[in-house]
Amino acid sequence: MKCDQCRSTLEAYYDGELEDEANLKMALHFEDCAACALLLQELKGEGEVYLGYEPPVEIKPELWAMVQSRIVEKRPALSTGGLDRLQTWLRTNLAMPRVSGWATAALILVAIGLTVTFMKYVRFEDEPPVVSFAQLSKHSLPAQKPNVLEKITEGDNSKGEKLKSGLKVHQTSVSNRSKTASRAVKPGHTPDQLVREAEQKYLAAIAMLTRTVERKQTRLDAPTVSRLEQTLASIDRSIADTRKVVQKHPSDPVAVQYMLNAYSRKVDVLREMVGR
Amino acid sequence: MIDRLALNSDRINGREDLHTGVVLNSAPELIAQARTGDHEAFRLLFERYARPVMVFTYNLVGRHDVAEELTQETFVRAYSNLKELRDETKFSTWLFGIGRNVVREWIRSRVRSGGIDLAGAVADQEQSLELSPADQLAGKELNRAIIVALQSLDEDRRVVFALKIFNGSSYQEIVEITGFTLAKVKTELHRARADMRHRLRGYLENR
Amino acid sequence: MGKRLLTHNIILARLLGCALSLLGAFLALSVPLEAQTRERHFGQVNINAGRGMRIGVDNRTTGRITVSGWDRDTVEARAVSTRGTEVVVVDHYNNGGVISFDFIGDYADLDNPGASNVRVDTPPEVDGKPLKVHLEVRVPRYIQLKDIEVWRSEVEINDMDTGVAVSGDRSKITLRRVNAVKVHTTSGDVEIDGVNELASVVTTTGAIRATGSRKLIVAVSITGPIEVKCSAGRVDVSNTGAPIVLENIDGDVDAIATNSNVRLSSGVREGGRYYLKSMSGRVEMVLPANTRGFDAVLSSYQGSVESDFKLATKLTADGAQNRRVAGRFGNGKAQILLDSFEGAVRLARVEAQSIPTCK
Repeated sequence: MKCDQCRSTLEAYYDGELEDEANLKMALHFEDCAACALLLQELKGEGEVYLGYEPPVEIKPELWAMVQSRIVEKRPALSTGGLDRLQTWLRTNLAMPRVSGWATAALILVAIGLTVTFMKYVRFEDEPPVVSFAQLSKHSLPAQKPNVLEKITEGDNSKGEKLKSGLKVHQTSVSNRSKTASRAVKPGHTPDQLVREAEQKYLAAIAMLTRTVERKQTRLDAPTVSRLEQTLASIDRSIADTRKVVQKHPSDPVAVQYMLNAYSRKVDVLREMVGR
Repeated sequence: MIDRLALNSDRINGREDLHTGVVLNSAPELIAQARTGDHEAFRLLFERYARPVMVFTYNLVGRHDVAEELTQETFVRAYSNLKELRDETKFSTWLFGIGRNVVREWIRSRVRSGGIDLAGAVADQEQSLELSPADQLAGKELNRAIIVALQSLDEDRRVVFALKIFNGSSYQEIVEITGFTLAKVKTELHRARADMRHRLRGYLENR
Repeated sequence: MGKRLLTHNIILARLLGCALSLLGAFLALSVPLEAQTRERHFGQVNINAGRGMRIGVDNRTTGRITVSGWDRDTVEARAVSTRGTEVVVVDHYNNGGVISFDFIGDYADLDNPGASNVRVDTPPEVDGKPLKVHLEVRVPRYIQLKDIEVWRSEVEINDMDTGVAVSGDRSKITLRRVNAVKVHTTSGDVEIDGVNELASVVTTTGAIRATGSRKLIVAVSITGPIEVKCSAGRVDVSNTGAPIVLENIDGDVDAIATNSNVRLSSGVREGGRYYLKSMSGRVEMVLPANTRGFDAVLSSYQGSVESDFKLATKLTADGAQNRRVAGRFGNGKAQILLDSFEGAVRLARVEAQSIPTCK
């Protein structure tokens, strides 16, 4: 592998987006090329800086209250059974734009009406039978074939956002099935990313539980609250200490495990407080 | 409805506190329940995803008050459009897609009314809230520098960067959330990294 | 007078003894501790072994290293490749009377096969890739092996009565029927089978597979899956992003994952403790239907909690989240704790023959 090739895929390699064979080629190149290896180190260094970023975000209880007050009058449109199935079929197989079920039905009736009218007033040698709704539904493109959808997607770039996102969801599920995940790990996740993800999960859980505990705190007596706060403070020190070690050695499994165990203990204590 | 499912079990000898074969709600069921108008189920979904969505919107707009509004709008729209979600395992990606659209509409409306307030973003940083110990560990200086640098990025670049670096999304997930092509995602990410590197060079050089 | 003389003699004798000890120590320290020789052998090397001898192995190429224990009192080493016979470099040490040999696989200069003292500096290539030389060493089972450090060479060690320590970056490590094990890799997979004493395995992204262990297994990985089967001893495993699968464990179990699932299929023993936990993965324990009894605490903060066993339960929390079920089945003589924060928790029951037996 040459350096210019390495540099063009360096970020994708760091982001864990390359296939195994490409990863191996990159890794072999880094062994022989100090310059490219340095670029990778710089990228990792940047990643560590961003790891230290903690946005000052708090989910206040009022936020749910505001969401709830707005949705209390809304109800998600309930499934209308056959109409929804028809809509889904048309969207999937004929790439029809996303419109409401009734509009879809209306469009179909208009289409039938026009067809009947056309057939009635224009003569053909072999007069074809009236196209019925039932017959219409029998003629379908092959369902869920990726190449058909890709062709539709190519021509439909100008169509609405919702159509695009619907097709892309499908394409993703097809492409994900075709990837063989030998380790049952999310494709494209490096150990660093997974550890970061794990840490974010714990932080999210801790934030959520902390809010719940704060709401319930008045139910606990003062000595209990004090004891639990001391426990939490001690765990927070463990988290801080182990986190420092992991920041220095992000690929050390033992250090990572100590840090995640510390987070896990905090989650356990908070759950215990919530449960009281 | 949630409570009814929670206690779908047999009582032992009529005793209220003893049950057998307890079967309780699972996450996929919450989405199905929320689709039928069950607010409690939707609240549980909110509890799980509110923070990541708000972090995402905050990273894009740089202001806590605005991020809160946009997060609220995201969940209201998600509730209204739950029937559009075909694959429950893709709920997170779908939700972030809504969040991204909500942010984009807000930015457009701000541009029309006279520009994004960068100073507001900085001021917000100076009044950042006390939160978990992780927040204290991070250091406010770095937080502030990153937020200011983020806000100075071009909008598309900011979205892609925030999703990749702070949300840990894969390229494909970013494609689904933003509607960009894969090539655009890679290009914007590369340029975003370069821009951030330039703006944060003081922090990066000290490592 | 006689007594005084005796006392003086005793004092003198003691002083002399001290002086001689000091002299001996001085001499011992001043003599070089190691006497090293290096020889290059084309073909097989045979050395008479002895108790207290230490053997080291290494490979200048990325070829495999295989060490097998046998019942003879000789060490036999050879290096081979697709070309045929290669060179074994033998380093000999005498470290204060402790004899050790290092065997290193290396390239032979096939233009001068008999000239084994010629080192080949440019690796020969096969199909555009550097040639791999495989080192095969047979040693008495009682021999102490030095810590093995490799980068990409595969390492396989079989039938040793002594402990083994291997550190490999990308190397696949396979250890069978050895006494104790300590392994560390970055991305290399690790497979251990039939370890008699402590097994400690740490990898970053490698897969860990362990069967037939008799004592404690400790396994830690970040993204490599962990599979432990047929362990007579305690199992202590933890993982961040890949599944943990355990089967037929006689000892206590501590299995903790963050983003992945944890599954244990096993009978339980009286007094046994089984603790499975995940942050966002699914936690499942599968027990045979003829289980005598256990106390179980099943909990999930945001996921479902299910049990196929009819527990005499007391619901401790039945809200929409933070669900916990604690109960007893049968004689209650084992402890089961299954917990997840986001994932589902399940205590499943199957027919006893559904759980595969150990060989």
